[in-house]
Amino acid sequence: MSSTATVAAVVRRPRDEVSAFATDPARVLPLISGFGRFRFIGPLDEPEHEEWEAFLDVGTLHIGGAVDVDRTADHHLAWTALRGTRHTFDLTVEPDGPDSSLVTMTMTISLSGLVMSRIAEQFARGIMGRHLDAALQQLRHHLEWEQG
Amino acid sequence: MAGSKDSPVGKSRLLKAPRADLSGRDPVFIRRMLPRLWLVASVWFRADVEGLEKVPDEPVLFVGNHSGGAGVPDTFVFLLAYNTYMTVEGRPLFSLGHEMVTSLPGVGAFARKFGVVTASPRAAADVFAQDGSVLVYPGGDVEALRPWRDRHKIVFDGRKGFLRLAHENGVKIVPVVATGGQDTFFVLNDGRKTAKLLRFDKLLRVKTLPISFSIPWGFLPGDLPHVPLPAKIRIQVLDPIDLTERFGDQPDWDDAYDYVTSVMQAGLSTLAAKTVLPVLG
Repeated sequence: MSSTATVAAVVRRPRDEVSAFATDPARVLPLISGFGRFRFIGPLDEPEHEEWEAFLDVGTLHIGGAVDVDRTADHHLAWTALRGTRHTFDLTVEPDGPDSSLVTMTMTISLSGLVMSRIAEQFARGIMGRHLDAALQQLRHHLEWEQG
Repeated sequence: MAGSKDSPVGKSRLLKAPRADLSGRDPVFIRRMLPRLWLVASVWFRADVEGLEKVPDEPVLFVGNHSGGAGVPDTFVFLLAYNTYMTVEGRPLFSLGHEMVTSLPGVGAFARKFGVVTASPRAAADVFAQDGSVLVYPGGDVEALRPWRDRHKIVFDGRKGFLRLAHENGVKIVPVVATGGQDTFFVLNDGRKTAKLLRFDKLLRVKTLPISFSIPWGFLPGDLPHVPLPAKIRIQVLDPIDLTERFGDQPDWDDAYDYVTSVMQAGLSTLAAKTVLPVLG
C-alpha cells in the first residue's frame, strides 16, 4: 500500500528557464524551506544519477533519507529512496504556452505495517500535499519575481 | 477601496449605522481584555504568531488574508499579539472593518474599542496622520467565506485599493498570513453567484453567500457569529514591501497586485505546510 500526493501550478516563465532551475537539485533544494536537511553525497554508477540526502521536516516526522536522483530525462527530476522513508518524488516541467510552464510535483510514500500504517498514510498524503504546494509556490514566486 | 474619501467604501443601501472612527479605540479596555484574549488564544487556538520583529518602527499598512467567517479569530489573535509586542501605549493599530461588523450590537462595540474602524480611505489616512498603523483585509467577506478546500489560498478578488492606500500615504505594506481560521467552521461552496442573484452585493455589500457549517447553527446560508472549533492558528508576519522602491512613483497596479499576492501566497503555503493535521494543528 502507498499514498500519493500531486500538485501542479503554472509558472509564468518559459519552460527551459523553469527546467534549468527546477530540475537541478543543487539549485532547487535550498529554495524549498520544507527540506530542512539536504546534501549531495556523490555520483552513482549510472550516468546522470546522483546520491543525495533529503528530508522533509514535518514536526516529529522526517520524510526522506538517502535518495537516488535521476536526471536522465529532459525537463524532469525524479528520485527514489535508497535508505530511510520509502518514497519517490517526481517533478515535471511542461510547456503552457510560449512564456509559461506547468510544473507538476508528485510524491508517493509507503509505510510499513498494516492498519496503523494505512491510517498514517492517509494523514501523510495531506502533509505531503501541503509541503508540495509550499515548494511549488516558493519555486513559482522565486522564478517569477526574484530571479534576475 | 473605492468610494469617496469621506464615506465608507461602497456604502450599502441598508446599513446606515454611524461610522466607527478613531476615537472609538479604548487603550484601557484593550489592556483589560488582553489577559482573557491571551487565555483564549493560547488554550483554545494554541496560537503561534511569528515575525513581528520584522515590523519597521514607522506607520505601516498590514495586509492580511481573512479567515473564519463572522468569527475572524485570527484577527483578534493578531490584535492581541500586536498590542502585547508593541505595547498598548506604543504605535496604535487600527483595523479597517466591514460596516456590518462595526455596526453589530455587542460585537461592534467590542471591535470598535479594540480599534476596528469602518473601512474608508479617509479613516486610514487619519490613522497614518496620527502615526498609527492600519490592518486591512482586502479579500473581505469573499475571502473570509471562501470554501474550505481553498483555505490555503489568497483570495483578494482583484481588489487593489490597498495598494493605492499604501502608496498615497507613503507607508510600507507588511503582509501577514494566517492559517487555522478557516478550520474554525466549514464553508462548503463558493457563494458569489448566489449573493449576486439575491442582490446582497448591492443591498448589504455582501459579495458571497455560501453554505457553511458551524456550531451552533449547523448548515447555514452565509455565516453568523458562531462558536469556533478549537483550530490551531498560526500567523506569520512577512518582510515589509516598499511599493515605491519596487514599482516607482507611478506603479503598474496590476504588477504590484500580482507581486503582493504572490509573496503572500508563497508565505501562506509555507505556513500551511507546518500543519500536520487540519484543525488539530
